[in-house]
Amino acid sequence: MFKQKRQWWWVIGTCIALSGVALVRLLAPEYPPGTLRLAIKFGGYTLVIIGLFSLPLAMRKDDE
Amino acid sequence: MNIDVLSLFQGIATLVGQDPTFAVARIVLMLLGISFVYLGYKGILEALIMIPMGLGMATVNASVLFFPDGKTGTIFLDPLVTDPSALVNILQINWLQPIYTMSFTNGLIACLVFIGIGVLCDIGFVLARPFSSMFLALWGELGSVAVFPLAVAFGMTPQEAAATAIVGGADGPMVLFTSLMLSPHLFVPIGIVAYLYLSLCYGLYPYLIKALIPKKMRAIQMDLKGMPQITPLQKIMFSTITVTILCLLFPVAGPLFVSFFLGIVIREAGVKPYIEFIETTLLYSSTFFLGLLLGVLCEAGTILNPVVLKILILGSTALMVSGVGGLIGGILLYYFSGKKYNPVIGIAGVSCTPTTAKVAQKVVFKANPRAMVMPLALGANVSGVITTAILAGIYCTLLK
Repeated sequence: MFKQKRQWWWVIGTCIALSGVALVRLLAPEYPPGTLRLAIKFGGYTLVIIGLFSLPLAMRKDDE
Repeated sequence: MNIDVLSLFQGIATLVGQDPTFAVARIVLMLLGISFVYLGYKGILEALIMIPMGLGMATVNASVLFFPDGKTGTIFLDPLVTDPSALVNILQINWLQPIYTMSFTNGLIACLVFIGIGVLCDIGFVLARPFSSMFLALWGELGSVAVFPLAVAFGMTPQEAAATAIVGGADGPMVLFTSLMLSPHLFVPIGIVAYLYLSLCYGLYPYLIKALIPKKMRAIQMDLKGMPQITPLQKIMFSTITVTILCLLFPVAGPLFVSFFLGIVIREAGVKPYIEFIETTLLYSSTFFLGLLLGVLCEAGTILNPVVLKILILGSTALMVSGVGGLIGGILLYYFSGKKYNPVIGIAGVSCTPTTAKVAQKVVFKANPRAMVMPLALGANVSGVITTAILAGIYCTLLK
């Protein structure tokens, strides 16, 4: 699994997802309810999805 | 010697002495309970849930007696007691009260069942085809989303509407957890309706599939040769990272996420004593008490609540819309893939694990005995569990 060439996929995916969490849970609550707050939350959730989806993609490339 | 026969047989005496509506409801529920036991035995309904539930339902409505203060009730359990001193008293009288108080009111039973489901699920099917699995699972949530505004329009509060709409996710523990979190006063009718309908999934979804998908499309054979092999360590790492992220995002639904992914990690880690314990003792004892207590909670007083009719209508609508949504997702994938994808797999996006996956395989097998879709259906199925948990988390986070 942790072939040298692929291990960074795991780290990058996790970091992207965690940065999404930070946007949703830390940054968004700092702004008053409105469009900007919604946009930050949306961006955060999108980053979480991208991050989590990059993990199985990394696994597929391991086997191919 | 003068014997008062009615005081000897208090179950009958309470039936005669009660409001006729209650008496009729009790008789109907007793007959319904007996029917559930029969249908469970015959395999028409899910025996694991329906046999204890039917027996509980029949007997709780038969066991009504007079208390010293003249009121009627049973010594099974009282779901409405909240006062601590009254609870301590009643824990020593009602035989099922300890299990109800310690495992139902805090959502523990849902989490225990979820650990069991996690041990049974192979997340490798999701990781092998992540996009198609999640795409179908998202469409399989159509009922859980669409019924929410409908329930609000029916006069329910947003919390009640969310607890009812999540029935569309077709995941029993999730429905219990969400209703306990958002509208504990409706937990009993929602739980009963959810488990009743989930048992019907197996019977009704094949007809829905046949009505919406032509036989030519149902018979499509899928190419399973290109599916990548996912190692246990990859599954463990993915599960650990995902559950951590989900708990950070939705702490309210943390117990559900942890339970499910804990089951998956234990399975992949190959800890045999734990796997055997969870797969057999824990899962079956939780399911047994879940069924029994849901049946026992089915007293006439609960069922005669007018809100039950709304839940019946909205719950069935949610499940049907989710089924249709899953199939729409399947049809879309059929066209996206150049007409190579079997759209029946879409029904497995509805997360009634593993029932809907089995339904998909059964229907496909009837159309083409050589076609195998089970691995892909299980992928959609497990994704469905994850998306339902996420949706439950969103509802709980926004509305609690």
